[in-house]
Amino acid sequence: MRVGIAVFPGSNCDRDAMYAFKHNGVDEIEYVWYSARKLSKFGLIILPGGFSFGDYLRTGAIAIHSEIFRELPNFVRSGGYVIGICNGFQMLAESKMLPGFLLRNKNQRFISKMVDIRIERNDTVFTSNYKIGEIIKMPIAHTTGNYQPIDAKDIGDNIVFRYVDNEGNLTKSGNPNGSYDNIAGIIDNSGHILGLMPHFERVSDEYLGNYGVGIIRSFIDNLE
Amino acid sequence: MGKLKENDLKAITKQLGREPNEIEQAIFSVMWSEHCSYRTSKPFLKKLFSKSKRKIVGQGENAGVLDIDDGDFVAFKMESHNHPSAIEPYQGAATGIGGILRDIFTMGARPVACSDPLRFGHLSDPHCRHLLEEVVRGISDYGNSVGVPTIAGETQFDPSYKINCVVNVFALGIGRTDELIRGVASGRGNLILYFGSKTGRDGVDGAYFASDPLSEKSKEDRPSVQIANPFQEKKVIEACLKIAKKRLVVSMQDMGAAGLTSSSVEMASRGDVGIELDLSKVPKRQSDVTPWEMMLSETQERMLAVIEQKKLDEIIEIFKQEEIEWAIIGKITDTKRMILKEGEKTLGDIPISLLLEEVPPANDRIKIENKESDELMGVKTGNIKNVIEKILSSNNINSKHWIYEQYDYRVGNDTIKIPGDGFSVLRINKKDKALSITNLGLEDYTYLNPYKGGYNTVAKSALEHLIGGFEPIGITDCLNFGNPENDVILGQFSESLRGMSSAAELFKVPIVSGNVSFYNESEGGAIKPLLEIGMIGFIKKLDRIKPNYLINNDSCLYQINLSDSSINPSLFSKEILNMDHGKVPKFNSEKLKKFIEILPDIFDLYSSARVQSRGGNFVTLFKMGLRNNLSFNLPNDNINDLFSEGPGLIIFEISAKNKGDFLYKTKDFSPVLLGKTLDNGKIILGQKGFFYDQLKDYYFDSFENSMEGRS
Repeated sequence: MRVGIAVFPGSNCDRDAMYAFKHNGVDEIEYVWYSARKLSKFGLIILPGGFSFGDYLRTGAIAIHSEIFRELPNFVRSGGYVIGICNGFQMLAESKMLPGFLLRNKNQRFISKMVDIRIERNDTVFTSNYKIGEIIKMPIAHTTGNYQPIDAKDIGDNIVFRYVDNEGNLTKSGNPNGSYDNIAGIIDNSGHILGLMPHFERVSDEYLGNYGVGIIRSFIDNLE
Repeated sequence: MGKLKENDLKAITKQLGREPNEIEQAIFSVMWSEHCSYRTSKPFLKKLFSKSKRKIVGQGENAGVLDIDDGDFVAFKMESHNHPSAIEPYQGAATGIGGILRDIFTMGARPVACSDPLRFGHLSDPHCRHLLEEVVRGISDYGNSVGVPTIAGETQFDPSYKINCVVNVFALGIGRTDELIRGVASGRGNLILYFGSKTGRDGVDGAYFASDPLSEKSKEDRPSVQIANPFQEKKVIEACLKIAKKRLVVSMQDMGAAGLTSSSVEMASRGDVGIELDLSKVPKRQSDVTPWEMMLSETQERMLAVIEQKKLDEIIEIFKQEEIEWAIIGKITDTKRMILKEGEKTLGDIPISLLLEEVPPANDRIKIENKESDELMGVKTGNIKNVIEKILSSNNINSKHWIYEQYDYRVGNDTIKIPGDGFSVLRINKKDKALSITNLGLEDYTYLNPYKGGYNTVAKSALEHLIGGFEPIGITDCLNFGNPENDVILGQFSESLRGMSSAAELFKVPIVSGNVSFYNESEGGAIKPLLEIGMIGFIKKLDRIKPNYLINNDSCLYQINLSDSSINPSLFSKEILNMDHGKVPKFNSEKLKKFIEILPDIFDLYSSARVQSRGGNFVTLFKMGLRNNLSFNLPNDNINDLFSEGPGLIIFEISAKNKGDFLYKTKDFSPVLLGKTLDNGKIILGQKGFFYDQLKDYYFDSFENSMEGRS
């Protein structure tokens, strides 16, 4: 299955995603410029982190009006998968491909640190290599990662990743940005669209830490 | 417009054979400013040690460039943005990052790391908190947005930086030696290509403004501060790297201080050619930007390149994809003159050598003043627990995670040792080799004894790299001083450079790039002289990196002294006794040389090592234990033993197995046994015990408390 990494002007984690996937065994992978209209040769599109179009407006707000976003819904309907990391998650929420909103962090500042993440679902193609309740370390790096659902009642089943404290508990002190219910990542009802704030692509080798490799391996195991 | 000094105008008139016209005067006013011309500092900079087999480009270009094997090079440089940051901290710091990154990618290197040495007044003052908060936000917004990790830094506080804060910015890039771009213009008839942002009035006269002390009136200079656009920079970076890869330009330089003027003149001067610019072709943000404003504007994110006509189409293709504006604004001539036109009309005509080479210094008299005193301090041991808590809570010691957690320090997937714990390590493009990066400035030493200040800064840094397994390969400096027209200040400058150079020579580390920032003065007087250096080290195998944090329980802790040490000056005397005088510790250069020789023999015998940091043995061990939660014992709670500082004191962690071998091979250095590592969560000082976790709270939480005005 071919993987495409979308590149917008201002993307800056595109090369990191390329490294992480290649380093962990995905050879069929290439960059896709944001003006691409055809995605049919891909099975997975990654929307990488960064500051698309400078993000001088709301995060992701300009990116979702690009050609590639016009094509993404069709791509998913015809069986494609999408992962949005950080700015990519912001785009998916902004475009309503995932439910909910991302607001500025509670402290109003950029937060760059390693956090503890608990796996809430392993019945997705992206997380099947983890155990439910497993705690992994992943870095976050964002100003706008405070996730709030539209309807709190409906979001429970969509939660894939949650922030926890260093004892593994869902607490305020383990929540870096004020997200509702410590949510760090969600998946849509179809199971095809994943959005998360933590950068799993930055913990993808022995020197950086290996925690994010499970997402890449899960995907390979399920779909190759 | 900045005014020319009367003497300068006379000299120029004499050389030109006529009085320069208005636009020519504007150009001279910036090119002859200290900021652009280095008129006063140049004779001293020329004497700095700069020899190295690895050196590809040394001082005088956009950045220093060193060979790091396998066809890779590293380009790196440090600059100051003190004056703009003191007036407009957010934009000042952000444009500082933008400017230093351009110095790197203009050479065909992808910028892969930044760091920021900062100095402010005490945070009990709301103005200082405001400056720090905004400076950090500026660095964060710009660096994070362009996707360059900020992986190191150093922040210290002293009342002398209350008004005139210090904001130094360091950047480093990696490139391929066959794609290196120089800033040397050549080829009569070649085109001058402008690209990036359109020229506006922002930053007009910035260089002139940076060459004057700060005063109450400086706030009126806000329009001299430039405005940052990191998104534009990101596009320009990607375009420049594509241009480098295809080798499409003859030379390239960013438009930094004095924008279009200095970039064009410097490239022409290095290539010994002339230039002709048609200012009617320069892309303008507003239609009424005048020619002299265009020549002096410091609008950010603009680049200038010299290209061959036949490469133009390929370059335009790249600009189209990256959505970047461009224009051909002139050509290279062989007249060695700068000729400015507006259409057919000639606006100015100046010999290039007169703009750069023949600038007389503002001062060349130095007066050497030693402020050291011999008086010894009578130290009373009060309540040691209070002293420890106060030291760990000091903003000159405590954790700066509040700052660096606002920086994206992992983007790029090569940061393998993150900030906050001594030197940082950057892997080189996912290969099995890495660079270590340190920033250091010892203003309290340099203030008392400039020579030892400069020497100790380099020697201490170099030792840090060496014991970590890295070969120190290069230095960039940022020299922050007061008004050089004052003989004492110029004496500080001259002496500290002599010290820096002497240590650099001993370690054979070349000084390959840098920046001078004079006129760091306000109504309160000159800042403490800050000779800040960025040093990089190189290692050929990642698994040879030696930790600077404790590894095992029950290891022996040994100390080797390559310098003497002192309790005044020290952080203890500064924070607890409110004193900043005393005698600066001195290295024993013979011992130092011998140590460098034997280091390879003992490298495999120690589990970890660290050069003693601010706060003496106590703080150094406290920090070494954080990562693996290992504490330590020391024989007593004597203030001198805990907190005396020396730049050449090294602490080694030695396992029982290697003890005999280590002591034998280091016997000439008479290592001192300090104590042992512990895993019981307690720090033991003689008969007294302290809970490590409780002390950690002081270390980790106190900075945020200060920022919120709580202490």
